[in-house]
Amino acid sequence: MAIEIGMRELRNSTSKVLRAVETGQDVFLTNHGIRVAKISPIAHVGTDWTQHFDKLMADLPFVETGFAQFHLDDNQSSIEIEEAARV
Amino acid sequence: MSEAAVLFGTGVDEFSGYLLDTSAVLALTERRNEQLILLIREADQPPIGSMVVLGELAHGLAASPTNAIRIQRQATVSFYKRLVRMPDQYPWMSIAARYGDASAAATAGGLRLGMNDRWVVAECVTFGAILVTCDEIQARLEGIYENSTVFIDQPTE
Repeated sequence: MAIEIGMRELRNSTSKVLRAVETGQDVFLTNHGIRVAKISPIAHVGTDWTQHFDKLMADLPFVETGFAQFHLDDNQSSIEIEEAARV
Repeated sequence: MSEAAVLFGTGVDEFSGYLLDTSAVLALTERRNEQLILLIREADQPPIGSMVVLGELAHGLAASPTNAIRIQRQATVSFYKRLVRMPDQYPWMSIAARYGDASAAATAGGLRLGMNDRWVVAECVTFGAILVTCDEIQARLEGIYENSTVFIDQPTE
């Protein structure tokens, strides 16, 4: 779902808007309810990409939540269910 | 061109790069796999996003056993959304066609490959992306289907 904000909301919630754009969302700026501009994520390429990736890794908390094992087990269960359904 | 591609279309042009399977995303976020970090870092552009991978991450998040783990897994989902680039329009018609081909190839090749893994391969073929996976069986689909793959050996335990 696209995000639409008015000019006043953009002024008051700039950080929130930028966070949304950083996660890949387009934000439409409206004037009296009519879309007049779009704020979109930029494409990181070349050295800009390397810097962006390094920052992403640096910001990522170092955790082990069992996510990989969960994914593996879930995948295996799905295969077994699908195979059983075929019999 | 396969019959399915003729029926549904051939895909998306000029949208190439790596596409990380969920196993690779988790090897990156929870294991800091060095081979993977190097591979992605040295690419000239961000990996391509996958709706299937995002869905699998969302599943892991929703199934978190504790609130503390839920918060930590949320960081993984946020990381993924900031890492990848997504097409403006999700080419579901082409991906559906490619799924048909990939799934048939997997079955014919006797690979024990889950449906989601087949969908990820279909996304890769549509985008012209190189699949990066820690799943040896998924990587073997390369041998029987027209798809480039990088296999990252990351033990789960």
